[in-house]
Amino acid sequence: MIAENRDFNIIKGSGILPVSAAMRAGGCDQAQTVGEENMDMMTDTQSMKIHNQIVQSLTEGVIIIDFTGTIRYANPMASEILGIEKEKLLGGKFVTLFLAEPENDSFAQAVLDTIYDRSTGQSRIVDYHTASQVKQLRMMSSLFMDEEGNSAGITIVLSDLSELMELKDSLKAMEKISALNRQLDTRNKLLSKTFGQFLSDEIVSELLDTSGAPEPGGRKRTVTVMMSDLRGFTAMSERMEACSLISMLNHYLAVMTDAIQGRGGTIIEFLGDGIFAIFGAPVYTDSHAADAVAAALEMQASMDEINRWNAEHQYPRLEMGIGLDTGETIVGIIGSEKRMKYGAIGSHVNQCARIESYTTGGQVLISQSVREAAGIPLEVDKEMTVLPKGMDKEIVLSHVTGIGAPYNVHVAIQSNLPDELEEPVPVCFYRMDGKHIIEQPCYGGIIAAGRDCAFLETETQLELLENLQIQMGGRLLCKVMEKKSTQYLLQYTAIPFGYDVWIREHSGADLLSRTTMGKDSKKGKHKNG
Amino acid sequence: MGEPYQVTFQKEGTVLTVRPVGRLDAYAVPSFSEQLEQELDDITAVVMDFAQSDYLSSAGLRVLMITEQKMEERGGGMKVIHVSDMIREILGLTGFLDFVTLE
Repeated sequence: MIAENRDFNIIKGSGILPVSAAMRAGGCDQAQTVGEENMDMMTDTQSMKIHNQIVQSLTEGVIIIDFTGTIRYANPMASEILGIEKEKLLGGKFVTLFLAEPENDSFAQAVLDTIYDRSTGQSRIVDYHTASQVKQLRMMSSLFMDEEGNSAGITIVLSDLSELMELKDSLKAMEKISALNRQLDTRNKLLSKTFGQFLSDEIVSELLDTSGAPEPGGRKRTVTVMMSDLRGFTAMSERMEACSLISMLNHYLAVMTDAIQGRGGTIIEFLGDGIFAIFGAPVYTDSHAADAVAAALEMQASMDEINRWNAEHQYPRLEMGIGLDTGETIVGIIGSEKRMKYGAIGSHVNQCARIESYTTGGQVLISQSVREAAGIPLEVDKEMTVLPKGMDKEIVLSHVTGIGAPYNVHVAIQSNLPDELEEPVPVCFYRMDGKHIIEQPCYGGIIAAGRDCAFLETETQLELLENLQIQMGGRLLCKVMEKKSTQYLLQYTAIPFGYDVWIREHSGADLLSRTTMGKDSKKGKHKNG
Repeated sequence: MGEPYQVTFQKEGTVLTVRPVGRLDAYAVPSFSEQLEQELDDITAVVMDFAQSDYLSSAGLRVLMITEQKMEERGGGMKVIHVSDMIREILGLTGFLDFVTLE
């Protein structure tokens, strides 16, 4: 019986070669090498025993099929690789074991091709289905002959490459992951760089560090809100070429961004020429109010540099007002899944916008809550009480000009008084409600005028900080700063191009040739009252 | 390349003689199987004549195996004739000669 003979050779006397010879024909190098080295020193029986032991312990499966279709030899590894019990495999028929189901056709075909392509042995990798899994097998098969040179059978050597293939797949997957990681890293850097131009580093970090996609959500924080605006920018934007306007604005915003971020502020957004920023979020700091005051003063201080640059580029002079307010505000990522931004919402944001609307060029106006939160002495030029539109109680605003240690930032107060005109110039003016004029003309006379302020005498009762539009070489916008009887000090907020011609006509003064208002003027300064 | 596959059938009573021409490879077998199946009504014995075919793939062998089982169930069987040495070896190596008669 086969089982009795399998330890030594296949079938004695059947004309089939011993296992070792069949193994050599099948391409099993390990068996071949060991066998040849020791062949001369041993008897055939000893040699066969050794060969058999080697084949039995191989990590490759070895099968020998004869020309009756019977599996004549199979080592333990063949049984394991093929998932067929040793008893079933040995002595089994090829047709029954491998041809009954189509799923292992590629395996069966490789065996058949050994007959068809008898000149060369077969070596290929095939899928092989066991009851529980699909394996990738490397199979080498070759025909072997009996002593008369007739085909005696086929030797098949099998290696299970499944783990290797999985490893290869894993390596490929790892390479893919690695490539994706590199892409992600590049994208993150790009995002960080792109975001960084618009958002503070802290917000970029917060967004990128969020595991998964950022989700809308906010938290209540006590922060200091900052709103700034350029005086008369809307009118200016109508007169300037688009590229000049953007160039001027970009330069201005870049300087302001540095000043704000330099004090830990977070720019929420640019509103045209306006800037909306907060201090104290997303990274909280106890000094948010003082930081904001210092930043605002530095912003005002840097306007000289901005205007020097503007003059070099033939751009108009800019004046900026800044409002600050401190209070509980909801901050966080606001929006929908499709569009999100880091934002701040709350009554203090609205109140800050109101405070900013009371400013004239060069001013920093702060609420009482900012003064209290700042915790260090501030230099205050003056205080004013206002009732913001839509609010039910008055608020006290302080015009801040300096902040002490450790900030030590101070700005000079421009106290240029207008030059008295030879005779009052009659003007038509309109009162304003926000940015809209009230369509009822009012009349008065300009009795003194300077580069950025004038005295108006009128019977119309005007309110402090009220905005007016006056025809003075074009539409001039100004704010009522002081009031005495029927005389009002007006601070210009937007000056038309024709203003210089207008003032030359009425005073003979050449404002363009002067750097400081009133300097070298032959006219006396007009003192209110 | 071998000849393009064709097959002819000849019925004599309940005996069907099948004459494939060309290679019964993986591409030809589905068509061969379908055509053969249609001819097997009332057939109890099949004679496979390989005079004009010298290639039989593993899928082709399975068609022969299934046909032979069917004939055996009907009390008949399968005979294979005019085989080349190559196909003889294929039939031998796979164990087909145990259940088909070779002439």
